[in-house]
Amino acid sequence: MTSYDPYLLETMMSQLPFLRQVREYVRSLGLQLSDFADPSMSRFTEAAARRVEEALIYGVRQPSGRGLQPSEEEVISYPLAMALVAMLSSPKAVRRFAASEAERYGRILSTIAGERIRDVLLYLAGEVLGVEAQAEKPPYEFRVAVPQYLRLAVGLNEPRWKLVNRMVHRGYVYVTRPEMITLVKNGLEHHIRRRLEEMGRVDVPQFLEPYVERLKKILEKMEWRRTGPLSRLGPESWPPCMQALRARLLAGEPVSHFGNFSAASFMLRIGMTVEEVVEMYSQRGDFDPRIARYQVEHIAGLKGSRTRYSVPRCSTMQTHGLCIENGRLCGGVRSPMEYYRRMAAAKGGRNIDRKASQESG
Amino acid sequence: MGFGGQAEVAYVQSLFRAYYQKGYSNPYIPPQMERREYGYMLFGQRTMVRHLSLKDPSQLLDLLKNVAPAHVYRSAAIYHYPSAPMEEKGWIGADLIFDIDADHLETPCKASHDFRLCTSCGLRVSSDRCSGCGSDQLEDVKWVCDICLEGARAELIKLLEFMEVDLGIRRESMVVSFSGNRGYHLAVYDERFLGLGREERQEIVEYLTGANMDPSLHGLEAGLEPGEGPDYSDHGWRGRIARQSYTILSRLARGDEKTVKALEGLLGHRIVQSLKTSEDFWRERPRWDLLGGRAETRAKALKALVALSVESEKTHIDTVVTTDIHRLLRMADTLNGKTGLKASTIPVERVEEYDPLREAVAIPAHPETRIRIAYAPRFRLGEEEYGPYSDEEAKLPAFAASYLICRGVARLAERRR
Repeated sequence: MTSYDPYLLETMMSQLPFLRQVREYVRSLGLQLSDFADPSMSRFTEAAARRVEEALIYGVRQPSGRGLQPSEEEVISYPLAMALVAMLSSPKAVRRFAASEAERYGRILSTIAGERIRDVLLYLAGEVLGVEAQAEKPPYEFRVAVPQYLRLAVGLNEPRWKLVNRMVHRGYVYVTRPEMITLVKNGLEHHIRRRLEEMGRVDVPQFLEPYVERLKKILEKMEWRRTGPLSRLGPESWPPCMQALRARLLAGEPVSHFGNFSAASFMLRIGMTVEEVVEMYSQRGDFDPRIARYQVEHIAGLKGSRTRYSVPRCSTMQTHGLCIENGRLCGGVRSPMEYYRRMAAAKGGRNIDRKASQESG
Repeated sequence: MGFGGQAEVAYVQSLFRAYYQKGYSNPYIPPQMERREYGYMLFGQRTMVRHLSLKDPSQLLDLLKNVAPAHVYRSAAIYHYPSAPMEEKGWIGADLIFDIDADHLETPCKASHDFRLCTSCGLRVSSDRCSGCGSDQLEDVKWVCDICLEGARAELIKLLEFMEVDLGIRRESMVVSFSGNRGYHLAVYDERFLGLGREERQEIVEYLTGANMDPSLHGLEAGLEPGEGPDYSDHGWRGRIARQSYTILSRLARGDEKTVKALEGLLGHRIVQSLKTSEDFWRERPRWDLLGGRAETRAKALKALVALSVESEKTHIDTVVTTDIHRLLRMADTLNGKTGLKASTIPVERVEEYDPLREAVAIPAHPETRIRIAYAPRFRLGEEEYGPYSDEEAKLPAFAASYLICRGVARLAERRR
């Protein structure tokens, strides 16, 4: 068993409240959820609510500097923040909170200097995430066991994370320090998410009701922001894969079965009507409006199993050879819908800006 | 012609039953056998009986003796409730499985031994309609020969090297078996890999097949300086590409026709000529900077060399099998109803010398059986070669007779039409 520098552990403990030692410390204080009802504890409650609120609003794009000053407040408010997220009983809140916390830890990790970081990363990988990792010689500073590397990297969409593009030897994948930070960060996100999921539904005690209400409102607004502008951006704002499929369809060029399915599910998802989607297929040599309509309705979930099919993820598009230039043009999104949402958000922002400037001018 | 009729079913089934009664000793039993799903197919039927669970080897043996099925399968997966419907089984994990089938390889022998039979009159035909009886009920028969099986073995050997050297899987965790027909299977039971999902398995598939590789991420790009780029001793794909590139350049220097042709297809005659001397510079270490004169030529040559290296170093597995975490695969050491051959397990260290057409013969020679053969190219089984046969009767050892009947090209001679 590796031994760890006690100074190091202490540094980590104050900054990484999900560590077992930190949890034990908090537990040793013997605090119950109900203890926070006491007015003297309100600063912790406020801190916890703020933490969740910021995670919901900013996600991974928090103002920098946030959370870099560890304090007792941070440490003690953390379990309460977790409880608050669980009380929202919203998978979206869980995802967003976990992503935002992980991002924060990623930032903390990149500030740890020199040799220290290697031990910290190995500690987090081994003790917190249960990942078999070892120190290596430069240019790779670490190697990670293949199956665990796959679990940590499978959601990362850049080509460099693909196993086929890595150096792999005797059961290990070789990674650099910044890559290891990303992997650990990703692992922490899963870890936090899993812990939240394990908490399941948590009843809301009366003293927390106002906080939970406020957070729920924020969440609702977020959902609206995400789905609101979804309706209809022009094809020039579609992800490259969908633009390519559309071009082929309109030119009457052959498109694979999976390509047809992907394009249809995408167009439906961004709010095109069944008629509009069917129309896109009318250039096909074997076009039969009745069959096309049936198939599109099926994908829309209006026929058959009533499942509304979701748009395939980037990795699936890649597998079927439909991804364009390995996602180089897409800024690291994981699914065509994510690309579209980003465009929608960007477009929305610009429109508002223009309007504002007109009003002021 | 399909499987013939009831008499043929009874004949082959009795041979299978005899094997399960006497020959099926010390067979392969998958780990956690009670948590797996089993399935089988009867002779002459197309549907599978599945969602079975078996508690121990003796239950398995009883099933095989009683039913004497044409095909026996087990799940790669382990489940909480293996006999429940799919959605309720409770997936726990799955072996990492690989299927290599000569059918998917471009072997030169295919054209010479695959053929088409009319299922109504048994005539060998070459068009879409039988020239004898005019029927359009035709069946494509895929034959297998030593060349096919050598091709599959070569792929298996590459796969095993990837498993051991790259993925670090121990030999004790690997079960290699002959498919009983045209290929080989590998099942890896390693706790660390058991829980991997579809997407993670897809990553492994892409690694083994070099799919979606970006050579620049392996340090292979235009404009490398002397001493840069992958070296022969590098791990993983880097070393593979470096070593294979040198092999290709050596072959080119020797004027090997296939190599010249493959390179010319990608680069054209002039550039390939200019590469003929590159081998000299590559002896000590790869000189990615010395591939032809102009920068543009070098970039093209590097790309071509890498592409050909990946093509020959990758292993040709059936990619959908590995990513299917609910897949049923043929149970090793049972008989394959398409040939009557045994899907024998093969110790990893014996893969190079294993002779499937001799060692997988599990049905005895007796009784010798007279059969009517529609058509069969020459084939080897056991120690001897048989055929070719065309619309004739022959008296063959039981294993050869059942082989042709299982393949659907022969009937018992005594049977009246």
